[in-house]
Amino acid sequence: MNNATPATAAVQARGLVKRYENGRIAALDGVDLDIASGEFTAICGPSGCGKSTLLNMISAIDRPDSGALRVCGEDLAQMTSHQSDSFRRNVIGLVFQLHNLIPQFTATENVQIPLIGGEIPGPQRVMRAMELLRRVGLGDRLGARPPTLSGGERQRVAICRALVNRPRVLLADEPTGALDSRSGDALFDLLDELRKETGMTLIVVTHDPRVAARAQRTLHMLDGRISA
Amino acid sequence: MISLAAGWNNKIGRLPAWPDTLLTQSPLGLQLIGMPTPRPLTLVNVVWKNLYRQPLRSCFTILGVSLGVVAIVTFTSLIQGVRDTIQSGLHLGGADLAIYQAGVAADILSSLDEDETRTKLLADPDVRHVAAGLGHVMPVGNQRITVVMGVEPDGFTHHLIEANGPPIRALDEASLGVMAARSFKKKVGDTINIGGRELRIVSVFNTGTIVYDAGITVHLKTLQEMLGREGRASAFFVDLRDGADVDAVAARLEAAIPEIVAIGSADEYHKVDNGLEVAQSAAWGVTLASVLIGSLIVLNTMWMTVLERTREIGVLRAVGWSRRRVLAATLLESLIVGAAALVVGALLGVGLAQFISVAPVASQFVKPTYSASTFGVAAAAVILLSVMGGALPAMRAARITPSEALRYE
Repeated sequence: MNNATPATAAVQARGLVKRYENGRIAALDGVDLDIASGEFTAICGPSGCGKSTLLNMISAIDRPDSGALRVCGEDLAQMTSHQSDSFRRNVIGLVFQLHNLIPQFTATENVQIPLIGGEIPGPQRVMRAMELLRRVGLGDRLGARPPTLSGGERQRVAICRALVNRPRVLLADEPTGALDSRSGDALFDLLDELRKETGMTLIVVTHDPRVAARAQRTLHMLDGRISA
Repeated sequence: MISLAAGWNNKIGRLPAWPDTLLTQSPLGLQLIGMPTPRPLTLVNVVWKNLYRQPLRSCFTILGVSLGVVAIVTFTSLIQGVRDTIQSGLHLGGADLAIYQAGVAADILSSLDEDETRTKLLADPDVRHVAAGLGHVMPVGNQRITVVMGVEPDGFTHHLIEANGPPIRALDEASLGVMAARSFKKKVGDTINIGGRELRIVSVFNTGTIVYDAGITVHLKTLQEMLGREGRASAFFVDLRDGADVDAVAARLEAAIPEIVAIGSADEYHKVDNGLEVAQSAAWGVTLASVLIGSLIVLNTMWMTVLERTREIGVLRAVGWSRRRVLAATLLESLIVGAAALVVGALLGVGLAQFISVAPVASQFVKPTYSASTFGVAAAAVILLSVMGGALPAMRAARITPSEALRYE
């Protein structure tokens, strides 16, 4: 269990339980957790220990079977599906292990996807996307489609897509899993710098010790629990 | 710091912290530094690009769906054309009613006693004028099927419009419809061989009714003699006195003369010939089948699309797209397919109807009529089949949860 009790908690979890296959498999088995706003936290552990499940809970992609979970003051356990969608759209940024970009869209278009149908006018959506892409060094690749981008470039586009809604919490699930070490280091330089600039909370799931070493705090998970 | 940082080191402002820094810059401002401004991505763009992703499949789907539209446009325009032909044929020369023999399976089989029927018809106080006609279909020249109409010199021909020349007076005279004249390459003064007789062409007429304009009129007595049906007529065209109630007179005539049916509009044509009804039923059957097939094609394609994009839909849901937006995108995709199919199907349907209408035999009987309602029905059918076909996949797409979709391989 993690005993940190920061004054401004981005994430507060108490007794989180999530079971699959009719309750036979406990992906989360009573997780207690506090993560402060603006903190860079790494969640480590072997495959199947519940890291991604925990990330899914924090991002409101999935909901716990029991326990309490508040993210940025919002009680996720009580949210309706519609509220969860809105929460993800407005509060959370997600970076996946695979970039999951839509191949027929340009980099700029992929970045705009979370904003479609929202309140931000079209020209501003484009401006945001372009600015983010320029900030991550892709200013000359705005019109490039994912198949023509390198692995590192695709993941940077994916980061821009996660940031375009200006999230308060950025969640990354093995974001460097498909990258070589050089590109992976570069990506974390970028993520950390963005975190410092924006004050957003960064939570990264990884089993790469080099990534964990860069975090301000590292949580270890084992068998659905936080062990350290 | 690393390769990716080239642009990063050239920061032009702080990243949204999230103050609007560069958002105050206009797209033009960015253009000025050599950067073209892309267009904003909209839901329609997303849907359009999804369709464009599999262009061949999208084209085949559109073609498949357009079958329903083709069926609707082709059959409806042809049947409407036939109805219009019947309608104007019934009122040829301004007649109020057409009289046929009761109980026959087709108008061409109608046979009434010319004098007796005329006398009975004229006995009605509202009947002003009666013109007898004898219709027959026979080969003329190199045309296997030609409608030949025997008419009375003082009756029916008076009503033919835009006659170029005098009406038929003598037994060896003929008058050609404009289409027949064109088809046989004949003009006034030429002769034409009909049933082994050489007849002199005295006029060319234009009724606006394809079945007559593609036919030939001869003296009633000539055709009766030619067919061995002396004293018989297949139809009577009846003019009523001004102010007469057409329906009431028709009912009265049918009651007084049991061997006849009186027809005032194409809707009543089934009394003497149910061919139109049969054709209409068959056309609706084929159309319904085509629409159902189109619906299944949309269903199949959209279902496959949703399956293929399960992970992608999961990502969209994960980044905040609501179920409603996913539903709307999927439905919009099937509606765009439907809209494209409407355009393609309408063009193909008009083309097919025109093609059928210029075929050697059909050209004498059918001229398609295109009305706004035909395309309205086609549009309604396309919307229906797009929604029917797209609804199930759209609901499935909307039900996909991000967590299950992100695990989907």
